[in-house]
Amino acid sequence: MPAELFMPFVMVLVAALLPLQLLPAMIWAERKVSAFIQDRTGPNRADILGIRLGGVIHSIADVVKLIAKEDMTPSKVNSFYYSLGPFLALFISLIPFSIIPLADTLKIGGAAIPLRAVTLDVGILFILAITSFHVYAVVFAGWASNNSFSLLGGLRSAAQMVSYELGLGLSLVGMIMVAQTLDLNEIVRQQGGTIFGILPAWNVFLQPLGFLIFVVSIFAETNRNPFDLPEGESEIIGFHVEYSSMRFAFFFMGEYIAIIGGSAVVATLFLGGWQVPFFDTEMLRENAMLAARIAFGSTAALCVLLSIILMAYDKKLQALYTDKRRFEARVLLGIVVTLGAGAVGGLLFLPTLSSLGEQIVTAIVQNTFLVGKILLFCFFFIWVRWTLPRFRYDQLMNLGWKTLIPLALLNIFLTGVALVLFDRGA
Amino acid sequence: MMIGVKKIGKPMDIKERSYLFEIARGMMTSIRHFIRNVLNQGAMPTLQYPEEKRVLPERFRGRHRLMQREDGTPRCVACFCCQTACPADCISIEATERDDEGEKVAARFDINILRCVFCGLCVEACPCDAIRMDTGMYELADTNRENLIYDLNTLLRH
Amino acid sequence: MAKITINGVEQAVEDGLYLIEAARRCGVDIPHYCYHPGLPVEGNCRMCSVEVEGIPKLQTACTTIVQDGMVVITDSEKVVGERSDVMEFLLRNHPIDCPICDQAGECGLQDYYMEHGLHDSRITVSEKVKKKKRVDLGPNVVLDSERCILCTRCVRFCKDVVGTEELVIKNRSNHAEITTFPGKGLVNPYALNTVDICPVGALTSRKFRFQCRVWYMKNATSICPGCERGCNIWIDHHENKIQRLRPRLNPDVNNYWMCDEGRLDFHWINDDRVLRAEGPDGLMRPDEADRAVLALLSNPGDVLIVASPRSTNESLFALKRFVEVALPGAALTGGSFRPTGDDDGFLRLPDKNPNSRGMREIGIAGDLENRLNGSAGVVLVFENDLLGDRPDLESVLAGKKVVAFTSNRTATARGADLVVPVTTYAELNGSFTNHAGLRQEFRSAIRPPGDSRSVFDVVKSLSGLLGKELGWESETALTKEMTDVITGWGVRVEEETELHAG
Ligand code: SF4
Ligand code: SF4
Ligand code: FES
Repeated sequence: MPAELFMPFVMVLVAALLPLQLLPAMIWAERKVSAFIQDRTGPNRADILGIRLGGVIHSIADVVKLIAKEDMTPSKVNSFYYSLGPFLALFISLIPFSIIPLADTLKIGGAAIPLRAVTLDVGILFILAITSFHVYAVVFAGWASNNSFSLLGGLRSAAQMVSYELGLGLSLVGMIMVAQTLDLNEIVRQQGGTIFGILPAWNVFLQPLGFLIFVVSIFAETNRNPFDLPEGESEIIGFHVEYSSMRFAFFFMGEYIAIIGGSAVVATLFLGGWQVPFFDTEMLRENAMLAARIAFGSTAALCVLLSIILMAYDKKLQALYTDKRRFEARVLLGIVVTLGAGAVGGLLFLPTLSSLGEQIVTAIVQNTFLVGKILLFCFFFIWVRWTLPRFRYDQLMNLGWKTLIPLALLNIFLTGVALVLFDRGA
Repeated sequence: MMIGVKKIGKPMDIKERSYLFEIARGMMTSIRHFIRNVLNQGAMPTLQYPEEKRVLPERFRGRHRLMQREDGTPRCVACFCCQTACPADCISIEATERDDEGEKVAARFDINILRCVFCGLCVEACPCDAIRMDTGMYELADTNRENLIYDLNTLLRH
Repeated sequence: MAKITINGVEQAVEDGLYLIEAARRCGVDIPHYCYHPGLPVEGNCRMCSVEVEGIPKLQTACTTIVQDGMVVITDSEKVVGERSDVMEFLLRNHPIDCPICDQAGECGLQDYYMEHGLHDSRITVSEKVKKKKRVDLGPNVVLDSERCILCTRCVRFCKDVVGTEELVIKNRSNHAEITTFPGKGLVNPYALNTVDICPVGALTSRKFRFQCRVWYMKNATSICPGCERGCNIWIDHHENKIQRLRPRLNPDVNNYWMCDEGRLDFHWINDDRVLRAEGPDGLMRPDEADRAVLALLSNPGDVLIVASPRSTNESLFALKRFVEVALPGAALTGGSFRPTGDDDGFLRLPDKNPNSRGMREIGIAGDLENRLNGSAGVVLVFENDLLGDRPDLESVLAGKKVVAFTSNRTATARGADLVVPVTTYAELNGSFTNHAGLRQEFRSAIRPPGDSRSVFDVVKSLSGLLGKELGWESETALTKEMTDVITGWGVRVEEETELHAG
């Protein structure tokens, strides 16, 4: 079967590229959202031929800057571990994507083709195991820099990550008890359908306490505000103080990919993964034509909306600028109109789908929903960062050990009681 | 060793101690700002400087200038009042005799704009209305410190 | 002793005093313009009017001699009103050009207007009588006739203190002006004292004119190094530069005065200073310089040390101790080839060195010429411009290694193998002993420029390198020992609080 042979390669590629594609968008979103939350306009200056895309070009400028910067290695570092740190930070945060199911399994001619890079029936354990590795990146970087501040920063982070790992693991136990499996695709599949006919049967509704603990722990694991003590760049010098240029960029990227990965895990475990609410895979496959039409139609509608916005934007640009920036809206308008025309064309000339085509359309729709959920959760990450202040270290430890772990244990107990009472698992 | 924590203020009740409700309130506040700004970007107070510029108030203190008499010579009589009044020590004057009847005139009049705090005390101090800050010039950046020490001629020209 | 009552307080004062002086000693200041304690009284400004009981009209305190039982009132409504009226008259034709006036800040008109005038002007500027604003009275003094209040202090100074009588008043009333006789100038060698005593900005010094605002300057007490008299002076300085010198009251030495020559002789302190030690291989740090000097001192018998009567007592005393303790065998001599002047019977004396007597009495022999012609191969010259004063000495010094410890780039410094910068009197605490044996202390006014060190510091460092102790921790200890050893010197009289400077 050729498909069975080349699909894993395709899937590895997709799993690796998905986070790397989301990364610049994530960085841009962080800047723009923080700006809007604080009543600022955010980045809007860097341009290529006058195209600024509301600041997206700044991400490109950043990349150029980071690559072009001098890469300094302090003279008395252990260079092997010093280099290993940033490498691990990026690499390890990419790994979880290999087992996230991107859509339901395809069935081609009786053969099942899972849409993920690695098919593993202990997926959850794998994720937990891999995330624990993250602490090595931090400890290596902190220790190998041969700087007492970065060493302290590294130890601080290590302690934080190890502590919250417990909460992370324990919060999942309840969910696993309900699901009775460790396989991620299976867990996603179980989240199809509804509870009481109104709510999608996502684990977030079945395990709200577990969800809460998991989310808090994942914030701590990814060193995000309000748990960003490991970095604390300006105040309590973090583990990467000695890094510059691309090595620093690796930590930076690793952090953001960890956020995207965390969002993917949350989406998969608690928010129904690729499940489209109220539509399970079979239903989607039957209505694939309709789904495709809706997709094209909504794209066209979106394009119309965008065109209107762009036209208003053009007026503003004409009044404000005299240089090439004033043509930005027109260029973008051209692109959007072309896209819209394509969508309308697709709508009009849509061929009748074969069974494979139906499956592919279904996979695309499901994947879109997965990515949508990931993005929403990424937004949540940003939103929290620009709202909450940072914890003090003792508060952080108290929360981890004295609150989250007991709560997780309580969650396990309650789940057990519920299972015995309603006898679902047995 | 434990670090003592002194608790001040009223103790938090259980709702506050769970933090969840307070966090939710904070999150609502920030998302409110976010949505408002996404929907109506024009309402943000940010100005797109340098394309857009603020309208200066009438009494805005900009870069200094030295006034001229009708015959084009500086009005300044090098009394050193401005130099004395200046809290930032940025004016430095050298005096000399004018060729006509016994009057004093500035041979050198330098303002080091890098030091200036734009307080306007020099203008207040001048007994001859010779120095003013009404040029409205505030974009004074340069790539060379020397260019930012304005001399008599530069100050007289504007 | 006379008993007088001033403003209700009875006090005893010496007989024969003018009332204004008696009141000052009792702590009551009476405003005045034409009165100056160093000049004969005239009583023309009327500013000092006071009420004396029993006399219906106001009396001028500067011409009234105290009498036993006098009852004086200086703050009654009548007196205060009179002062205000006098101010108004004095300012009738005054141009009020304070912004360009050098006197602003130490001006009698400004001070008394704020204290006693504060009236509104009744005339406009165009009604004022215009006069010449820039009259060159002589080489050093410029007159602004508009500002003059005709107190005649300057006229009386020339007539009664120097006796040259160059200045007079010409014309009458509104048009009266200070002037010299046609074809004559204000040329006496003490002319600049008229600038000091002018209570307003009418007389200004040509050299100091427009140079510096008076409120910027700080003052330090000092002694003029111009001649053996040792006139007491103020050093007025700003931004570490000396701006002007002014006489400081000392009734035993110079009274209120000093000569123009001494007054204008300070530019060498500001300009042309040696900032770094210089040897044949270029500039040196102080420690390098000291080691270079040390290298020349290996054979003390070959060393001649030349002191100078321009050095302070402290420097000379330290130098002497240095030779005795650290360099036994070396020869120490002193003296100066500076051209002498005349004794003009007032202040200036022939010997143009301020400390010749001090040097003699510290015990430094004056056999300079003999010693220089001797065999010594290394000559250390301290603050003495041998070649500048006697260019013919060049042949004498030709074969010798010369080290010049000097503040300025003198001829000696140019001819020396090694130049080490030292301080001038303006940067030093020290003392000169004048011709009459009066030891007068002065304080440093400005910071030493560059690497300049005092002679004391130099010899201390040198003897340290030689492994010897001079025996003083500080200059204060040195001064104490010196004054204990040398007992014949008089003590400088503390200056009295100066009367109104103008
Ligand atoms: S504005 Fe103020 S700081 Fe600037 S020159 Fe004038 S007095 Fe000095
Ligand atoms: S205060 Fe006026 S007249 Fe006096 S020096 Fe300054 S600018 Fe010149
Ligand atoms: S009249 Fe007495 S001071 Fe002038």
